[in-house]
Amino acid sequence: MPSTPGVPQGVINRRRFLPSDSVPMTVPRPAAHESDAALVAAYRSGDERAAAELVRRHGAALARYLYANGAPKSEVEDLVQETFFRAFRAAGSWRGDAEFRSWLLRIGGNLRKDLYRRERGRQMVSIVETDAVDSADPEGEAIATDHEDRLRAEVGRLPRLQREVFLLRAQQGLDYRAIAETCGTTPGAARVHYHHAVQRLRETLE
Amino acid sequence: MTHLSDRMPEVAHGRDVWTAEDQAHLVGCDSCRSEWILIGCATQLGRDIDGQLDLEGLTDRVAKQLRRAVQARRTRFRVARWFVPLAAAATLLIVFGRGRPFGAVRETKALTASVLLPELELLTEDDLELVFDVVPAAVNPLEQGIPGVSDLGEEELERLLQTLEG
Repeated sequence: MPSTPGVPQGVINRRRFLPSDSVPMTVPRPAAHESDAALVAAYRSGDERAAAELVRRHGAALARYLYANGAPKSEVEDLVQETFFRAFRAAGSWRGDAEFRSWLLRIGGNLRKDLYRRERGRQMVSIVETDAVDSADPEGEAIATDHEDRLRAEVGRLPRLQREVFLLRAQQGLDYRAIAETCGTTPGAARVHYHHAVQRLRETLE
Repeated sequence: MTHLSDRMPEVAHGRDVWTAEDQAHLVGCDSCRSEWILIGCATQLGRDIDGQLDLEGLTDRVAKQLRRAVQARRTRFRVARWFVPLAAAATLLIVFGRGRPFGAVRETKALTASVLLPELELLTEDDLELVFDVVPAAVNPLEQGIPGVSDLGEEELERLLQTLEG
């Protein structure tokens, strides 16, 4: 958060959730090359377009993670929306030393867990959904979809930490330090969970 | 696990590359090859959700949700801004009012008596006895409620105004 000369820090912090329509747009339109930290700072200064850029940048990856983590396809978009909403409301608590995407994935993962707890009492969430495939190569696409469905189903059977660590490492490409922050564990423990997950998936998929 | 295992996600996400030696190992080692295929599939996991995701619409909805939250927060703040001083004033009135119940009793008694006096002359002795029994309960200030601002003395009013005006 950049400091403004003559203005106490508390004054700036109190303004962080003001909507952009009441705050003059003093920040230039965010560019795609700006860092996440710069965009978060711009949003906190009242630039709503910075928030939009963050949604564009991380929305798809977050959706993939939630879907692979067992969220029903029909609820993925709502979960993504809620994750961003919570993230922006709590933007002041984001420490710049952690990656913004890791922080988002953590919020999204927690929301997914809450959803699962609520759903468990009513019905089991099907981990594999069969949607019609629209493709020029229906046979090849069907095989790929079949592989993906099988993998998604097996990932869904992993213990929670193994599943999350595997997805964060293999699907999202995070390093163990970022995974540890996202899952609330240590980098060493994350590495062990990852290798256990890989071993188990190889055994079941072969 | 092999020495290639830890690098597989890095290579799959384009942050590292296999050397010729690594590639030769992958060709000859079933275990590494199957793991490499697994990681390759995992990077693609959930890709079919991309086509269904309306990112622009999502962005708009998040922005609207944030605006609504800010509006709700402002409304709460506005209500609190009026409610807190009113509640403080009411509390002060209760505190000051309870501090002087006897003055209130005397004033209320005098008022009631002045109203009743002209009629008392017309009553018989039995009726007067009855009125005597009834009047003390009727003029009890604690049963009538809390005295208002008019019951406060000048000094107490001054203190109350100072508290409210800061």
